[in-house]
Amino acid sequence: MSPVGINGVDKQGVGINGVQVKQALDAANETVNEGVYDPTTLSTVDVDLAAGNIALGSTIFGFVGTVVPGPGSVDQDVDGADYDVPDQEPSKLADAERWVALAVGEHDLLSTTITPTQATPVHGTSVMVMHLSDADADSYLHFYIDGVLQETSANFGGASANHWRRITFQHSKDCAAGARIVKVTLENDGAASKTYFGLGAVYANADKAV
Amino acid sequence: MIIELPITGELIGENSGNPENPIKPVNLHRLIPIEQAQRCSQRVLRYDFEKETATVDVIVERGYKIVGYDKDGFVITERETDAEYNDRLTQTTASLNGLKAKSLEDIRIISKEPRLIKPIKVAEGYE
Repeated sequence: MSPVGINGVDKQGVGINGVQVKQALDAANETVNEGVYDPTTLSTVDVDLAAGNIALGSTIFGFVGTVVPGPGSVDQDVDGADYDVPDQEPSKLADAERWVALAVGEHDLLSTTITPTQATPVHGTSVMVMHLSDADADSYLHFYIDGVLQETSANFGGASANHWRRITFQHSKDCAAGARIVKVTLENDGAASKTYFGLGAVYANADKAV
Repeated sequence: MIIELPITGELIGENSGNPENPIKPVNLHRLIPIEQAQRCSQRVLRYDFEKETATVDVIVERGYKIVGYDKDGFVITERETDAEYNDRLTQTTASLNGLKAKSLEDIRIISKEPRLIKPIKVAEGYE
């Protein structure tokens, strides 16, 4: 027998007095009560259910995550820790909502310069580097704002080969204006080698804030 | 370690440099042994364009060592041990302390880098 509510209305759909009572999903509660529901989608119930809110490599209710963890995650340090993203192509960076790829591609390391035209991010700029050479080349990243050097990375040459590595430059003070040109220069002291890299802009976000 | 270094490049605005000749501290690789310098990252805390100096936080980063190659030719790396890192940290810190003991002019001469180029100031009343 169907459950009967306190007011005598059957939550299964047909009220004892002939009035149908429908249940509604609640974005703040994972419990699905017994009852009748109008057709809907889970992303309508909770708009936070979106690919851009799900980590890359995870799929939740059919939404394939695209988020490459940004600063604030466990791997935010700039102390040389490798950041491994198995089976990820550099172009996938462009899919991430919180990680907006500004330039992705294969470049010769010799004096490669990327100048994003997008407005400067709020919380800093991250650079992901995938070094694909077996050469033990000495390579450095230089981060400029308005033609003034802000940071220089340690050598990430052969030591980070075959790995993604994220180097995060955090200059919220200078980035706050939102209109300055960020220039990142990739320099190689050694023999020519290839690398994949993407520039990511880290925007204001409560749970990922720097 | 925080050190003060001379700067080079060309100043073209109040706080902006010439992209073709950007403003930066003189190259640390010319000031301390390169095997120490190349494992350091540098973060400029502030510039003083009047004094032509930069206050730089030099961070001795954790390093890796190449221990072999896989079947695809990629290098296989291992993090250096704490002992190896601490040894390198000690040596680099000693080198940086030696650098701090020198005058800014001496550091500039050692670096062999040109002085900061600044816009010519127009004297008051002659604009």
